[in-house]
Amino acid sequence: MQADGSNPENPFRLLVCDADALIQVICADQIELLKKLEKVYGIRAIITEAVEDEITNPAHRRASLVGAPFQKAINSDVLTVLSRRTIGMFTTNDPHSIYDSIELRGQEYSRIVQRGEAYTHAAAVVLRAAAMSNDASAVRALDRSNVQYGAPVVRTYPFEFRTICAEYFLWHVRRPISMHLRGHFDEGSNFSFSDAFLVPATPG
Amino acid sequence: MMNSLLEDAGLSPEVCASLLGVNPKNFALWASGERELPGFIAPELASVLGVSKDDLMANRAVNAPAIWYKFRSEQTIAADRELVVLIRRLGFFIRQLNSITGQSGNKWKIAFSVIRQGIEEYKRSAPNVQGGMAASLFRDFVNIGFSRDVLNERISGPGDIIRGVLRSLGVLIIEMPIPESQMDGCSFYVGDGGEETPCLFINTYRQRWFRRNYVLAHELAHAIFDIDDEAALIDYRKDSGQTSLREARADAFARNCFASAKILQVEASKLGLEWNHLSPPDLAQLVAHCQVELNTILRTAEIEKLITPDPGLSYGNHSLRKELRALSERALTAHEYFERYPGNQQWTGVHRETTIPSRKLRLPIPYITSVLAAVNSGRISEGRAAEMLMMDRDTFIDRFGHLLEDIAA
Repeated sequence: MQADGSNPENPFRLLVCDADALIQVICADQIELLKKLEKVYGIRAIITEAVEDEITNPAHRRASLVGAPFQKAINSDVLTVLSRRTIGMFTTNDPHSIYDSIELRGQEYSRIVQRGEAYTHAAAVVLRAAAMSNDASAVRALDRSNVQYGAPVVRTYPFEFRTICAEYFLWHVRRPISMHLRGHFDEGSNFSFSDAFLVPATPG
Repeated sequence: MMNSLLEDAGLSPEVCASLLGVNPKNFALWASGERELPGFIAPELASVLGVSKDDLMANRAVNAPAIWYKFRSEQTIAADRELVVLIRRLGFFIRQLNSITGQSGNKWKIAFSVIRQGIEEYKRSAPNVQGGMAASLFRDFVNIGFSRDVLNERISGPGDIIRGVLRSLGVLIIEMPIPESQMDGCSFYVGDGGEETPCLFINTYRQRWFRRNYVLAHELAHAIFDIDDEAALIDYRKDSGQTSLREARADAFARNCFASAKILQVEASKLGLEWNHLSPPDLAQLVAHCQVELNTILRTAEIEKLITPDPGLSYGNHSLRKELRALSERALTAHEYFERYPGNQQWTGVHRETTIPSRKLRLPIPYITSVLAAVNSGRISEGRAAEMLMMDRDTFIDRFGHLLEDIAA
């Protein structure tokens, strides 16, 4: 583990999903995309406990909208909730240290961004994974605070584009993650958040 | 075990989960120890309950802090305890906001210490002497003068000035109606780990501004002198009839904050009033200038022998509603006020309420503006702002979206 608590080289290809982006995928009935992402490209979708709590909280309208398909995705192992129990599946390092690093970083980030976002980016940084999030405001706030966030940050699309975007989504998710893992993802890539990606020009 | 801690605190796990904005099913599993308490909620929960985060996460047996026993007295109800949970959650957010914006929330310590030291030599004196001295020191400290033209400055006057000063010192003031509660007001600490902040709560249900000012100062006295020993001081609408040293001192403090003998003499002289020949318009002028209800003014006037008991009794029978409404906007109902100033609609009580289903909290305007400023300066995200205001994001955008700057570029 590195001094900043992150995995030096994580052989696992992970996509840490935030609530709003995941809900878009579920509402568009595109959970298959996450399956395909793992099957074809070996990229596994995971969520943090904060996101799981957010999505399943009956106080939020979204729980009634996506509760059943979300639970199905968990039960059928398309999505995994990252916890102290499951962390060992996604790292070759000491799982407890990695989990503690996520917790520590998550608590720091949650002063700046919402709980779900905070732990999504914290997990993405520590596990050297991509993050899937639609919250540009969160990325800006983390950026302004000079803290690292998920790299790259992948954004989902509005529902109306779902039919044409399925393959496009896969390509777009896979490409920056692969480039990042190969070390080819640099500032010159010139992606923008509005185009679905954010340049991972993170400090530290 | 968290379950027994909650039981001691008189809090149901379901309601607690709702107030903290987490899934009740998950909360029940954390509370029973069936699932490890995750880090995303542990610091906030620890701060709300007043226990250490490590104890909570390790599921160690801990006693509920004294504040919860105070709020389990016969006269308190579940609504009171739920209110305390929300206020302490707000205290947690305020501390985080201060740490992000670099503001100090601890200036109150100096002010309180100055006042405590100032009355040290009067410790053996009667409580009304202690309260009077403390009020005088407080007025000097916050520099409330007598010469302000209260009626011509829309938001100035002792009540506004005291609130402004207390907030700038880091004291949390919550004013909202809780119809079902017997509480008139209370004071307790929010925050933890040496970073505590006093909170003054005023139940505004059927309370006029002039009465609220008195309750505010009364609770302030408790915060200065008593909450270190008592954890929480609660005042009820129905007077128990027993007067303790603490209550007598707080009463004298509140009275002298707004209507000390000196204040009354100066105001009466400015207004050209004769104490034994006061008409209803004269009394309304005094109330409007001192910003405290008539019976508080009359009590001081009688104690200080400015009036004889007989006129005091007859003065007390006057209804000043009509005269006061003509003199002070503070006598208007909220509806009348916002009708007169429609531009201020975004700050109505309803707009400042959290959207937590089980219980709402009316947030202080300065806190909301600080959160919005933090979003506009890019220090926190919109999602975090909604979380800090305990509102769902759609409501947050509906209510305050027009006040957010477009900082996407």
